[in-house]
Amino acid sequence: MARNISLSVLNMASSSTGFTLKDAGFFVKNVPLDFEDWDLFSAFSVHGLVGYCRIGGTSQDKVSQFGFVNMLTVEAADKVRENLKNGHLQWKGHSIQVNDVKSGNLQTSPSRHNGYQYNPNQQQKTTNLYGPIQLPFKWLPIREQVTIEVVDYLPCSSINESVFALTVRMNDDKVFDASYESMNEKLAQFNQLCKFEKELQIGFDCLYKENPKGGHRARRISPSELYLVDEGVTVPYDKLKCFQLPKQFANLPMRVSLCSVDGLRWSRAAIPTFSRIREVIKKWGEVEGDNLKAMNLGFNGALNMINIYSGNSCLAQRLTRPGICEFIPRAILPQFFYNRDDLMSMKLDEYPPKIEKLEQEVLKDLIKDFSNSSISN
Amino acid sequence: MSVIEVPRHQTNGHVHSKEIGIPRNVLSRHPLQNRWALWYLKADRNKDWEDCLKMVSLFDTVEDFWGLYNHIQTAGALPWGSDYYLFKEGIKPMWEDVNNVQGGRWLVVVEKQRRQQTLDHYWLELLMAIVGEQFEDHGEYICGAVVNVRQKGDKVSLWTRDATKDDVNLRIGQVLKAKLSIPDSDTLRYEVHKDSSARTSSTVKPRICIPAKDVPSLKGEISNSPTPVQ
Repeated sequence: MARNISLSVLNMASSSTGFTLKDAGFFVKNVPLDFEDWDLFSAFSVHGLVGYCRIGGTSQDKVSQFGFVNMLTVEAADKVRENLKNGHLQWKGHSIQVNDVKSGNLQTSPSRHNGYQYNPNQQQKTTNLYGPIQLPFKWLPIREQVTIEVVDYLPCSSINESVFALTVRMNDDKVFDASYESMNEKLAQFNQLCKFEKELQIGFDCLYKENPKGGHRARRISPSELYLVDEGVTVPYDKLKCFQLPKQFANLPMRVSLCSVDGLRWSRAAIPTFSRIREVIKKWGEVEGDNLKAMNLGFNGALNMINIYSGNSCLAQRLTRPGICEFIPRAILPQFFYNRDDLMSMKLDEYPPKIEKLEQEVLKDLIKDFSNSSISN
Repeated sequence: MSVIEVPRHQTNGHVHSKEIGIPRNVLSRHPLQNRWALWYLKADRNKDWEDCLKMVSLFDTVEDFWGLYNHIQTAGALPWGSDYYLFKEGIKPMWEDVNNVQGGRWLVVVEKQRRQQTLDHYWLELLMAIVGEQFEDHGEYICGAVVNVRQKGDKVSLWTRDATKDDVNLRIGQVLKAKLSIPDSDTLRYEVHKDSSARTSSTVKPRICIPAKDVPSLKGEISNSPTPVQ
């Protein structure tokens, strides 16, 4: 009961004051001068869920800071206590002095900034709040020339490794540019951070807080790497900087697009060289600077099938090498279209259909005149 | 009869002179621009939705399309709770598929009283329009077509790839309306899959309407479509 009351109290708490859950609050001293709320949060969340924390200010001797940390549960606070050595919490080589807040000391002085405030409305017990998130790639417009840059490759499990794919970022996206800017501003300011219950899985997305002032949407692509999906850059994976991505940041697709060069047929021997070929293309892109253009000719699953060119130079032709790959350009416009009259005129020119082996009870409903049909088993 | 299967993207549907051994009657078939898969869902309360969904047949010529269509039940003859799905090869008929997840659908509601005249007509006209690539420049945005056979009212839908492409989707909707001869009295609604997944159908706010209606989409935009195609 006491916990429920204090949760609602936390809810009502303004950003400038904090309340302590009985036996779960700490007053901390000897906090390094360069620590921000973020760092304090990281130090304590190693041991349990943090309800509220903030740097209060600089100590009188001016060599360190002080602050306040309220754990979300008494159990979490006890875990902190268990890990104290001589009244100090060790973290990243720092030794933070931790004192219990006695029940009498409830009101804390107004903060110069918000601090970190846990929002219980976001939490559902201990499960991942939003479920695993996989942001979709951006589709490039069809048959429209766009300016692109080739970025770090984002591997995708739905792409067969025998398919040559690369990742590009469309520049000058009039439709979405403003939305991305607005989202990025909010990402940078967002501080209601929720850690993953277990670790962020490979192939899934998170909010990456490189520093308290920044925020990026990122995907874990390997045990040691994160990919910033809007910037197109690979960075080292740091568990402490990855948080669940709130739903409001999952509305826009990734800023990058997964592409394949249209018309190229690759030999099997070329497959191990794909990453080197990507590097070559990226270098070509860097040399050409702003002048890389692309046109999406069609979609193939998650892939945008594109032609890339710069001035008069067409990438597909440049990549062509006997034994490695061959360029068979497709016609720009669709080849086969039939209006209804065309189709109706051929209605009786049918061929016996190839139907999959299905259960009898399904076929009975599906096939016309089932008992007389040659399709029934 | 053995046929050499040549992947679609490598031939553009053209029959290359390099291919040998293809029987004459295959060569004389009329190729479709895309290869299509027909799926059938038979409602079964005891099974998972995905277990009820079966791939029936894959085809890529006009003659094979008719061969299949002529052999299977029309939509109106299916038991209640069944669905047909006709999707491009490689696109699963579910909104979570990578090709559908950012997309939406044009929804045509079939009035119960007019079911007998309209359901089969709508479904066949829609099938012919998609396999016949009748959506002008926007064929790449078409994912597939769905018919839901329901006692409370049948639904015919056209799924497109990208719900944010309002101009593309609007044009697709106008062509759809013309091909199916949908009267002005029936409103065509374009719904975003992601919005629909969280709600029952009656509470989804459409992103586009034909004829035009002032509908605030969930993003707070007002969508107005121009006068419908004659």
